Amino acid sequence: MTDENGTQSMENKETPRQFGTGLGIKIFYGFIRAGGQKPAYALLYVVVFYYLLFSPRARESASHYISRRFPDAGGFRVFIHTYRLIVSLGRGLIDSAAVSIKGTSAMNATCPDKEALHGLINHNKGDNKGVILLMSHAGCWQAAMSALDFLPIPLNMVMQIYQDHDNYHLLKHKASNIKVIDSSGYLGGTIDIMKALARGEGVSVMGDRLFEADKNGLDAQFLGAEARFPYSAFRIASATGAPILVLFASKLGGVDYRVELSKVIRVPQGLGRKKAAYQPYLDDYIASLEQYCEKFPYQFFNFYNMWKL
Amino acid sequence: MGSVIEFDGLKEQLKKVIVEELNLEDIDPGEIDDNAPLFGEGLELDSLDAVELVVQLQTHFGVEITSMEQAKPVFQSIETLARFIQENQG
Repeated sequence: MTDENGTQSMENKETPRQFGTGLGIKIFYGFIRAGGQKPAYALLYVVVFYYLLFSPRARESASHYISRRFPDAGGFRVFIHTYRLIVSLGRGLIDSAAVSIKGTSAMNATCPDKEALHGLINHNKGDNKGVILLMSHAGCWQAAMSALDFLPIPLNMVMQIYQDHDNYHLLKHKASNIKVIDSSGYLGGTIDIMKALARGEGVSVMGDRLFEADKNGLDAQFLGAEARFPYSAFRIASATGAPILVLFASKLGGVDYRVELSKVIRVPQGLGRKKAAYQPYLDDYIASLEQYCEKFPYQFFNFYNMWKL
Repeated sequence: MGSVIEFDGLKEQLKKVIVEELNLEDIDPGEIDDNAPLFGEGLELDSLDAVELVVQLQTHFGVEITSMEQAKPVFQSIETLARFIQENQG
């Protein structure tokens, strides 16, 4: 979300995309085209090793999360944890690239909570409230979107089109029921979000990354220290009455992904603009995020210091 | 003359709704400039306040903002917002 009128400034985080150069990405695409994901993974293991060995910046960007997720690790163990984290990120990116090249058959994404999601969505569709899908930079959101193609409503993905150009085109290309709301546009796309919810549609927002220009941050304990999170999803939920479905995507191995409904957060209507009113709901989401990080320590992809307040 | 008074009354009502429903502390509705920007400078509302504003416009005035394109000129100031309400109230 933007903080004020107009467009949003650049994100202050090092994005995963910065881990690869244009030429490097082309080489990986070449490997995927020639032999599928496995040869690309093999190349990835080598590239990440050398990359981490010679790039202090890469190690530093991963260290914020690694030092809190593995507080007792030191020296060589930190290097191993960092290596596994970056490899996991790279494998997700390779799988996403494979989907864009070869179609959804390149990824096997399932959702064990289909029935529950159907029930929740149909209930709210009748009330014209829609649902907010609260996702995180964890696992592979492209897999999540693939796994949710059974949903009977259009999904609106809130993203910065100029920043996430490739994913925007990937979504447009492969998923007919997915629409994109540009969060870098006027008022952060909030009007479009509200209209989509009023039509009974789903709106997918990320709950774990705050943008530089965003005043809508709230501090909460995450992995043992105070970190800053966006709370826009909770405020929109309060204004519209839409429930928040907390979803996590995880890679299980090979090309298998799973998307799970972690919990449903219902924010009372009319909480207004006081940040503190949203703290319990943010804490509820963070409890799920911590459980996810406990279970999948190498699938949380925020490479910036979210603990620096 | 009558319609001018009515329009002024609408603007005053709008200011009250914004201050009360958006919990704008330390702001007196009477001190809000009709032409001051609502977002950014002026009232310093942010994008999430727009969410509240859309809801309150519908609740108190029965008007609906349907798109970003429509919102941009309407959300400029109290003056533009009141004009939109006047033109669209059923």
